[in-house]
Amino acid sequence: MERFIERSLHDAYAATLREKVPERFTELLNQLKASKGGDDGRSR
Amino acid sequence: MAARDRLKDDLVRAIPSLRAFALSLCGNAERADDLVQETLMKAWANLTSFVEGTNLSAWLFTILRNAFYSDFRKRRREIEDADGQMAGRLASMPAQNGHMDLQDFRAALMQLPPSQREVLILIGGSGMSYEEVAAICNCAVGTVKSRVNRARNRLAQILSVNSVDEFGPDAVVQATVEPTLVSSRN
Repeated sequence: MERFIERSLHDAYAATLREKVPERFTELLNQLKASKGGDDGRSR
Repeated sequence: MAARDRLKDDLVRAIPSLRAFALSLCGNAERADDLVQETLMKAWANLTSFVEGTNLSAWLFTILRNAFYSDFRKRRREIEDADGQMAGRLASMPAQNGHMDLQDFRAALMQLPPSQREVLILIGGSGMSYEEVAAICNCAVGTVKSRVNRARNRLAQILSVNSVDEFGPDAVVQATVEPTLVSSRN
């Protein structure tokens, strides 16, 4: 039973990991990068 | 490459993990993606609070978790997607007998309290250490271990099975090739 739970946890997580990242997120990050909001990345 | 470009690439790489964690927390695909979007926006707006060289994923997970609990408190009285149907729709399930197993498991997972669900998925799903999860959840390592243990036991109760053999493709195969084994259980 414990192995079933561990395997299912891994499978449930991995199923979402395999999905294509929706365009809305890459578009959002492009907008954020182009905007003047946030800092300039100096902390990195 | 400019710092912003590097950061954008890092955030893009983190999105799948953030979506998986968000879906595990709220069990609703639409809300999960809204949580991820909110997380990305907050992260970008608070870059100065991120310490270079530390774990970006853990930092993002912490932001997402805080956003979830803030939203959770607001939505507490709303009807939850307890049957996991939307969560099931988001995931790309394998086109085989394991399909229903994973959906059933997701539904069972959603019956756990969020505090147990989050540690279980971070430990068992993302593979984080107890120490990393304790930092994300802002609690002691012992608390994480205790929650994981309670969550596993509760899941076993919810799934109400005595043996892994009763699940999924194995059970189907057994019912096909070993009908006497199945009938002896009933």
